Amino acid sequence: MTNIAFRRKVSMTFVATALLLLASGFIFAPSAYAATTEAASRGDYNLALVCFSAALAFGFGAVAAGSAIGKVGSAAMGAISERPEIASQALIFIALAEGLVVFGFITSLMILGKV
Amino acid sequence: MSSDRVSLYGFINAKLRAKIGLMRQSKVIENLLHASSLVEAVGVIRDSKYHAVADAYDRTGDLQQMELVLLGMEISMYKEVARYLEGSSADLINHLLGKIEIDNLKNTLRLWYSSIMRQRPIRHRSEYLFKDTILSPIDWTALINATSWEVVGASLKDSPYHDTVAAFTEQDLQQSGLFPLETELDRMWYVHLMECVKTLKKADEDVATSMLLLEIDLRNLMMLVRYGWYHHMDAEAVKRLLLPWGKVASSQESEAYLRQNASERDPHSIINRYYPGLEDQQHSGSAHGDEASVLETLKIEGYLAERRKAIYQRMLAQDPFTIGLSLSYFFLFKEETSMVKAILNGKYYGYEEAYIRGVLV
Repeated sequence: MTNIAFRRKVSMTFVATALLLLASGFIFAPSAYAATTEAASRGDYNLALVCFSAALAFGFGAVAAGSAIGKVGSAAMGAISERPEIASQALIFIALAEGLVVFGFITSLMILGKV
Repeated sequence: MSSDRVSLYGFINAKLRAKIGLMRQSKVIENLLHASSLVEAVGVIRDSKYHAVADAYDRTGDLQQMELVLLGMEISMYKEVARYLEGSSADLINHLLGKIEIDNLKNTLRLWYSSIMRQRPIRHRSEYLFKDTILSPIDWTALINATSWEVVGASLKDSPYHDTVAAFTEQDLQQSGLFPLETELDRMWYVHLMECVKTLKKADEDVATSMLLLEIDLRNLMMLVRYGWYHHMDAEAVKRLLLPWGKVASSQESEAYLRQNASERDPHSIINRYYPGLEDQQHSGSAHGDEASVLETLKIEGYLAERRKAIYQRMLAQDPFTIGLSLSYFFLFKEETSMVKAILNGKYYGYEEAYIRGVLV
């Protein structure tokens, strides 16, 4: 495997993680969709908007986290390949990027809590 | 900041920064300097990233074979960085590697010249040429064994150097030696390098251009000192050696410096114009005799090398997602290998630690 292929593979791994996080968003999707449809059928567009906002908060958080982890993780792999002893420090930066999706998740929960 | 730049440089620049960190922590240079003999120095590098150099010593006991291994390491370093990059950035790195190929070609042509034109034995020296593929498909062994200049040209037919070499005839070489050809090969490399830099993305182009122009200015200054002052060459001959980019080549100061009588030229004044501070260093007064001139030239070269080092180190603190970091790494790597080479040579010839330390830039 060439080094560029390796680098791509590392990046793809992290992007895949992000996609997984995004996919987890679909767990909320059925109930959000049901609530939104129900609210819309009742003509309660405020509730629909709230559900939509919650989905956006979580979705964008997950995508942003995925993108950030892809980049930070790729750089971390580069540094760790030369100095394995800094692996734990590099993981901190990956965790910081991971925090984005957690913030999105909390924000969406807070929004849904208002319903 | 473009997301592409982060993707392109994130991995390799983190890797190079880690390597630079290791380089700075390493005690190899200090321990090498403390070694009391060549054997002890080889013991120092055995447990470092230079272990292949120690292996070469074990195999051959030959200092020049060790230098050949160091050259091989430098070539591998360029190839490794180019592998992790793509597009015009990788092209630039490969083009930088081309300078090593040109230097190897010049060394090979010098040996060929000694053998065929001067009828001197070269067998022992040809063992120290790098004969593997660097970039272009050149058969180094066929080149050095060429029986005539036409055969030399034919050996280079698949390389980018063919046209430049073919433009010179055997008569040209007999009249002027290899110097004009070598200068032309260098010039060709710089011309292509400038073209290569223009194909980079904006941020990379800015960084690469600033570093390249710095290199060209330093090179032109050295030409003014070495050929305009030390070798007393006439103004027109020196001008032909200058590269037509940067601040130095087209400046009025250079023009005025070259207009002076060769023996009256003052290299300090022209260098202080661009890099003030040379006068602060103690120098050997107005040069008297060859030895003083050599010392003075070496001192000026040392001063310019220090300026270059400071600029490359400053580059490390700038935008981390450009090609600048790779260029700085190349500089630091080459600087370290040059030091290893100089120290090993110093130990081989039995110089004291203080003396070797004094000649290291």
